[in-house]
Amino acid sequence: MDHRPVVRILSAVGMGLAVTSAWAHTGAGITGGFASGFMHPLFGADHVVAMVAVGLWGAFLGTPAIWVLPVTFPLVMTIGGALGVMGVPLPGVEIGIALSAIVLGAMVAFAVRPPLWIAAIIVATFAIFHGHAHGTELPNAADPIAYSLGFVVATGLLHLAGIAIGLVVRWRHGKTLVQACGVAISMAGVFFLVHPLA
Amino acid sequence: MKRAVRLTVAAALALASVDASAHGSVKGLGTFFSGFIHPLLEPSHLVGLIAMALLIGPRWESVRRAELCFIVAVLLGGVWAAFGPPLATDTALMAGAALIGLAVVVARPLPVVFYAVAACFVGLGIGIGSRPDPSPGAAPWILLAGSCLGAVVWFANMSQLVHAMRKPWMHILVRVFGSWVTASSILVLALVVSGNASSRRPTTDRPPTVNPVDLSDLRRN
Repeated sequence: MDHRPVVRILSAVGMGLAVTSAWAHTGAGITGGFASGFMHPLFGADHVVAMVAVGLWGAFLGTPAIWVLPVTFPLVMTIGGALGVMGVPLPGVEIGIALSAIVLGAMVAFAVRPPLWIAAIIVATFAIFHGHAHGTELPNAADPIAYSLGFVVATGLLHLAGIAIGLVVRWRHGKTLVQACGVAISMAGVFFLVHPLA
Repeated sequence: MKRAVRLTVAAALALASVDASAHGSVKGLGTFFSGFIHPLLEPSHLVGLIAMALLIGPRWESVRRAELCFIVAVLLGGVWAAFGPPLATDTALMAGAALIGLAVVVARPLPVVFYAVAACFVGLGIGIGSRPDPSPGAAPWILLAGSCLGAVVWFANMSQLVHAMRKPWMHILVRVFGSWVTASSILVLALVVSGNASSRRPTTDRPPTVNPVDLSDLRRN
């Protein structure tokens, strides 16, 4: 009898149970740093819609974009993050973030299917702005490693959420629904762009 | 080797479940178990473990000797922590994790020696970085032993979990996780290079030390 699945399941459960105490601590320290980093993208609606749009567009484009875009984004985000950490100013960060929602939403809304390398460049360009916004907060974090892990994981989970939403293209009216999501994301981006100027 | 891993995992689960099943007040994990979960609570160690698991898990059958290298390296690192001078390994571990994460993203077969070297690097970093605070009695030794055993057990668990992810979309997920490891590691390295590390948690100068965890204090906070 093959006991490997049982061992693996028990291992996963054991690991999950053993680390519950690590998350009981909130506020300062390692868990507080992770929680702060994790919540940072989630508290910014402009971050949220853009991250979801990356996953959505990737799902819309299909393989291999469905994983290339969510992999490209965090890797390039580190460049912007590193600039933010080092205090290198990047002009128009908030405008760039708002534009990311507009452009990526429009890509989905109009079902734009560029070559993979062009899609990756578009995503990477906007990733720098998002990374810079996160990176400027990193030096103030209670635990920088935990903080960076937190916001990278949150960013990735938002991508996965976008991918999950994008998978509805397989439904009967799924493509229309996904394009409608793209329209909503673009409109949100316009709001974020206009709102600070109003 | 598989039987040994299973027995170790079973023992770890039996030991690790004490805290989760407690009712009423919990006084703390105790010295050994504090050390046992230390690799999970020390961010640089956790990142190193995850990176190695993501690297070795998908090719476990062909590179499982790297696990042995990891075990030996952790033990050697533990010996250094016990008898050698203090040495901060956070930065080195993050740099190693960044490279390992990239290797996971690329997902190309690499020479076996790469896996062995990576395992030794991470294992040594974790072992050396598990140096306990000096205190009288046997507590530092117990703490260190728990940390080293914990590192081995958690790594075995993680790599087997990754190894169990056989479906194509799971392989993609592994690459995505690898990108997360690289991204977070590079950001921290940028922080170190820029010299803007928070004064509350220096990542370069002072080597991290292991202390027994008092859960009752954590829950009060």
